[in-house]
Amino acid sequence: MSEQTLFAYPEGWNEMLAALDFLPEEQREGFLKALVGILLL
Amino acid sequence: MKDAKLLYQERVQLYKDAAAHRKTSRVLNLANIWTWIVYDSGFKLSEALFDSKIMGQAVTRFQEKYQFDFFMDFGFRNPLAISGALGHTDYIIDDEAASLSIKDFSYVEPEDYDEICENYTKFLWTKFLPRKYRKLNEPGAKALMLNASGEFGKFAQYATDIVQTMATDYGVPPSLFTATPLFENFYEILFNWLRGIKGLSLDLRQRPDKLKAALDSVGMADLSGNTLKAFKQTSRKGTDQDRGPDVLTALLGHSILSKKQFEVFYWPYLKEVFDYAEEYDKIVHVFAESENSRFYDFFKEAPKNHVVIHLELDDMFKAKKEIGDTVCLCGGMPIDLLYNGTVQANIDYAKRLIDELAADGGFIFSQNKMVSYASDCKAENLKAVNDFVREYTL
Repeated sequence: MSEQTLFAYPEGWNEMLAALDFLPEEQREGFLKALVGILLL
Repeated sequence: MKDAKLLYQERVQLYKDAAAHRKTSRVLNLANIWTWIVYDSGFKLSEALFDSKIMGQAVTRFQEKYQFDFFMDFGFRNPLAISGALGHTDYIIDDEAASLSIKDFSYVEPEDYDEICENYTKFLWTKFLPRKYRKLNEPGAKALMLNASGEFGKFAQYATDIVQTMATDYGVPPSLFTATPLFENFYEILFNWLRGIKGLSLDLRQRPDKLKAALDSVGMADLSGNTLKAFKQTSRKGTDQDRGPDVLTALLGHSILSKKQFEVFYWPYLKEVFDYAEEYDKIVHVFAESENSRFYDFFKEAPKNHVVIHLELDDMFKAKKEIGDTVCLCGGMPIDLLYNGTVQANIDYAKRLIDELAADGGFIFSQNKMVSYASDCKAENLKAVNDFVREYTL
């Protein structure tokens, strides 16, 4: 996937979830949601 | 010095008793002290905000000096290292003034409300992130996001570690902002982080229906959009005996609302958390900034013995008369006095607060405003007040 489409949804979102491969698969969605939430601050 | 475990239990019980309007032997002392912790501990903000080891040292050094019972924050409020990994922050750090200020911003346009209603996570991912963090529009965005993920992981570990250290070494229960589930009216997220004061003020007048639809759609939620409704599904009845409040909510954007606007754009969502507290026998800590007296008719509808309200600019003695039978009041110690007053004047005022507000229970002692900058407080006054509050029996 090209960098320009990383912030497409759900394609880019899923691409980012796949890149979080240091986490168990079932934890990635919650982790990414929490990260995006804290980036509001 | 008491054993840390006993202190922890005593502090939790004092919080529960105060919330339930039970008379206590002494008053709980809650630190509404934020970046001043870093300043007073001798560190620079630019060091502590980007190095969790330094932040941890600042927090523990501070507790050794002042011996608070509870904290609003253990240094988790400004996670600049995470946004810094994406090459942008809205904050301006001034080490000389020990100040942290925020730039004006708006990351939501009026036409975005429909998309927020359709899918909030999608909106944050496709619109908010690339607008706020401009480097994410350039090649290498995924690597930047992975860097931010690493910083987030470190920060989460810091939160776990500092909560553990404060509990086991100092007998301090989890801080309210660091480790208590926080659910806010989505209006607050818009006001503080997405739309800004100017944009939201316009929306209240020019597109109230769109705004209301977005508030209904996202609901009472945390920063990530996880809702109180979903949280309820995992709740058991009864307050958690290992912490002070079960849930935290914060009010700031209400400061620009009339009573009539509050009824439409705020009360239905605040009531949701009040109803949760009543139905599940929980305690809610309401951090209400600004002056709140025009909303007391709403606060009177809180379930008695389930709600603690920390008031910032209100006349606490008037608040005690008007809403003190229903909610437990928190706050009261003016930071103007903590900076400008003598030690004796500070002790005298602290004594008056406790005598008049805590005699029959239902009061938690704290600073009225968030103590943040060098000129918000003098160390000798804070030390003297804390020594007095800790020893003064009712």
